[in-house]
Amino acid sequence: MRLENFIARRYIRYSGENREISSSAATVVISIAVGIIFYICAVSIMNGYIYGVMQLSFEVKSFHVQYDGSRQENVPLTGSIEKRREAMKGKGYTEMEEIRLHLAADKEVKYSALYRETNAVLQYSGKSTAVAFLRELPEDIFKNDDGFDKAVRLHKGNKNLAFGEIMISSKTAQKLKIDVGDKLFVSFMENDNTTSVRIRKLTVSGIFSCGLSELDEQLAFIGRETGRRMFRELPYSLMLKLHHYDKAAQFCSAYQADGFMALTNWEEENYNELSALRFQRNIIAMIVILVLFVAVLNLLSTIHITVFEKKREIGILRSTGFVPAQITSLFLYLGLYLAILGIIPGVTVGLLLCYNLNGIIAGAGKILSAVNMMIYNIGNLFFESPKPVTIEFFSSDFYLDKLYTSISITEILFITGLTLLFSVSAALFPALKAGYIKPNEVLKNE
Amino acid sequence: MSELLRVENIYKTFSSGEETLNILNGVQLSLKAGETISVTGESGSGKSTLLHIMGGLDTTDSGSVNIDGVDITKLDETSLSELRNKKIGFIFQSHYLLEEFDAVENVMLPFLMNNYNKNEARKKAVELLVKVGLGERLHHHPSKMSGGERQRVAIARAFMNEPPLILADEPTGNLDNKNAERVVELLFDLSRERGHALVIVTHSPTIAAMSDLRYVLRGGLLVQED
Repeated sequence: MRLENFIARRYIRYSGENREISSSAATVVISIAVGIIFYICAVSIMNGYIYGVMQLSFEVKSFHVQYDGSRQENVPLTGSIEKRREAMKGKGYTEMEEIRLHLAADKEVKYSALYRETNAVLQYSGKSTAVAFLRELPEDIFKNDDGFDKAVRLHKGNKNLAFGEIMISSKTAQKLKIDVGDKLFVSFMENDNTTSVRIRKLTVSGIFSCGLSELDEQLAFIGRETGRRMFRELPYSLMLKLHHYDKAAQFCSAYQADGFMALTNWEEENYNELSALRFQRNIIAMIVILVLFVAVLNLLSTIHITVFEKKREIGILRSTGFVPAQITSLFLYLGLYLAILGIIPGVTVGLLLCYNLNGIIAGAGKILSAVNMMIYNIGNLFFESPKPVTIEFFSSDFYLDKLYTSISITEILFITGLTLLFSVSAALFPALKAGYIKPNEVLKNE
Repeated sequence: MSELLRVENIYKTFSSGEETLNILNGVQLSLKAGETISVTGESGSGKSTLLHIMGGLDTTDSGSVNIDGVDITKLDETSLSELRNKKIGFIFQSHYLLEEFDAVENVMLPFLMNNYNKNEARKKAVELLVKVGLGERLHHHPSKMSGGERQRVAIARAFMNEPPLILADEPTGNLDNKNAERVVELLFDLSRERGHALVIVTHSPTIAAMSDLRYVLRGGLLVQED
């Protein structure tokens, strides 16, 4: 094997001296590199997008881990109606606080708090109404939970959940035609077993946006003290933020084994969205892999050309003792080396691109804007035209604060391995053909 | 001297459309170790085909080729390749050197096939290249050498594994007279000095005259000349 490897490496080193081989080999190397760059960028952007969207959801809506206090556990199948009704109410503050203290002792837990939520109708000045998912949170949540604070972007007012105040989303505010300082009526029912509707009057302290329309159309926040005055029987739930959001499933499993069955993690809570986004990512990855496969097919013609150009050398190698299998492996090595020559710049440039994507996009936007401005200034000397708008590839209105990119070593190894596999497969046919070259046919005297 | 090569009743036909051409019609030949023989004949008489058959590069329709008592017509591809590497050195009309390798590396190749010891191979290759007068051209690539120099590198390559049998197929066919003379002298001198048997296919009566025995291939049969 070592001699075939030695010869193949030399063929690569000197491939530039043969125009036919060098142009074909350069095409292969470039196309493999470009294919891998596409793959890394596409997958890392999709991974980042999934993370970005999920981050909004698990920081604001589902939290990393939650313990649903309304989950009716251990409801007796027999016994008095009162006992059953009591069990079905869910967990109260004291009971949930005990659970919170127990779970918060885990060193993985960064922040924990109790919360309550119910559907409510918001009404402003008797003219406009909106439906909201009213959530009672501790007043200090913005101070103590960085993730929550960052994800809830304030449009107007302040992040204040003081007694008698409510924070509503910008979409709800638009719908209600309401502003900070205005008072609105909140109507709600505490649970499904009651027919009584409660109404409270609250002042809008802040108008926020999370970016995701699904969240923006639903959420409204009130403080703990306001909640205590509003809700009587509404059960408490527990939210947990971990130091590593990706360890949420592991965390849940560990505590579920200890009997905390009502624990769910953000992946379970967002299962449908997560599955849909992962499906999209996999489809995009598959399309890019197909592009890469087509790129690798160039290798087949390159090895063909090389075999054709080198057939006399194959003949002389056979005459000096090479067996057909050695000739075949020589050209397989050649295919492998060409693939590696494409993979190295592909992975390097791909990673550089995706780790500097925001800078590159911003830079490209600035350059294009500058060029645009220059054209405008020159044109303005001769005729009047409207001032061009600043070009932004990544609009600041977009709900993600930046373009997140993320790619794992497994995904890099996967595409590297797949490219090598494609390359060896593509090189196999011409390499086998090279092995079957009969030396007497190529070494005939001219 | 012991018998190194024995060719018995070799038949070879080529088909071209409906026409069948009998190239070799029961060729017989015996060659002792260290002996040099020449094979002449008209163009297309089958000289190269016979040489290729002797070296196991081509197959026969019938007959046998024994090298050191082994019938190479019965060997599988792997054993045949091994035998070619150890027992036969080829020199062709064209040098067929690998362009990507310098003179030393080209000469090293046959040695590296069964013993991947680059230092030992390099030492031996340098010795041989100095011997053929290319001590100053060790690291030149074939494209930077003259025709005569390339052919001398090819000769050094053929002798690298010290095979008992050297098969040369019109080694001077592409060279001018001066270079041809030098190459042939070198070939015969090296063979005789090292005790290698040499079969040389040539058109030139002068070259043929340098060998111990002269044969002419006529009508598919090998006839010894006086």
